[in-house]
Amino acid sequence: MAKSIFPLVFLFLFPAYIFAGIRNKPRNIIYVEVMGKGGYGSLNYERLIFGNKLLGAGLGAGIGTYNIFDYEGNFNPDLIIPLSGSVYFFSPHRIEVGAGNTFSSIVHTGHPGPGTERVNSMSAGLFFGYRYQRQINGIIIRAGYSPVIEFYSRIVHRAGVSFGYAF
Amino acid sequence: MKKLLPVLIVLLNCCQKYETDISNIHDATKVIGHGGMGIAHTYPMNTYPSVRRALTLGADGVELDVQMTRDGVFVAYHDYELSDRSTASGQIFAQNWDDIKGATYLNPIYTAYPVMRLDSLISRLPGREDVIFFLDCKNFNPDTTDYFLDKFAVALLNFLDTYLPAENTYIELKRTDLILRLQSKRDDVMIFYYGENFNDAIKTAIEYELAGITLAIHLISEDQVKQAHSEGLMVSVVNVHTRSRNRKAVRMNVDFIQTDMLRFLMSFLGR
Repeated sequence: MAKSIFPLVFLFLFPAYIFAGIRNKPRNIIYVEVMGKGGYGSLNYERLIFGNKLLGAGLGAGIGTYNIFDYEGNFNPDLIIPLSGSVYFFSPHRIEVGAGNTFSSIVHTGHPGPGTERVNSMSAGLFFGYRYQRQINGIIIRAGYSPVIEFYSRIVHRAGVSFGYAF
Repeated sequence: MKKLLPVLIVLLNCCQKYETDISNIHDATKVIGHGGMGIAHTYPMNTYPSVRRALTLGADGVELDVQMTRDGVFVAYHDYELSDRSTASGQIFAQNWDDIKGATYLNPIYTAYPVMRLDSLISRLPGREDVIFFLDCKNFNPDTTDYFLDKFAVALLNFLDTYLPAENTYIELKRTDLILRLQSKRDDVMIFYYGENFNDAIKTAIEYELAGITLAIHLISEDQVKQAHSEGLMVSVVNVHTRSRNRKAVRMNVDFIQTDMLRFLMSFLGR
């Protein structure tokens, strides 16, 4: 009887359990990602929406680029804006799984003549990796495999490393 | 102060410019962007953005890899296998352009860039009449029939007449049958023999009365550059992908440096 009731009780209490500790936890994270989902690199913000020692989740947005100046030498940056959600397990050494969408605006070859034009597109992205993040303010480190499903049709294998601060 | 000395030496070395007179066929070192901006740049080689960036930075010219499709279209692409760097597969010579069209580069940072037709790349370049072009004809096609040799030679000559300035365009070839076929149709095409070693390169260039030789920089010495110049041959070097190799190429007085470090070389030459 006790065995059958325990999961129900656990499920009933689970939301309270997981939200209980968040007030004292760092809820904001700013990190720089090298490669990964945002071009050569991206600056990202993540908001923790719940978390404890076992489980956490966050929503994030970033901005990245490939080139700041276009091939004509003009200031005309490629823009890559990843939006993502992540779930991570355990602490402080965490397993992270994430998914999201990325908006890209890449400076491209003008057609058919010289000059440039922007090509805008959307892609999906995934993340499977490791995250070091303690339950208090401090540094975070992430590393993992972050494939991009370009134009929702073709997988581009990518990986990224992130360094940041949680507060 | 003693601790700062090595730092100062390094900094001074970084800013070093080459101030000795160049002594070669034209008494000038021509800076040629390898595939445009060279390997390991933010733009893939053999694409319009890479070529255009090299020229806007002040390169004298660019080198492009050239392969011909079965239906006679020239494609700017380096490798034997399309699948090595692009989303297409097979060999260029075995396919028509329609089979390759739409392929993009595979490298995760290059996926926005398509494999380009050479005419599409070159025709949109502003001011191309003042640009030096090296067309590295890959010639992976094993076909040695007269039909193929004629087809290649005619297509290339038509391309040159349509798009490129004759006085600034150099054709790099490894196959002597193609050299002969080109020469049989026109005697004003400037051909460089792309050699595997110096002795073979200079022997072939003299025998076929070519304009010059192209060699990887580690395969040629300063004395051999002088020897080629004394035979009236220009020298172009490739695999120039480090600072030391760029400095070495300048000091060797080669005529053309197909550099992968365009900004550094321009800076080293004080340009």
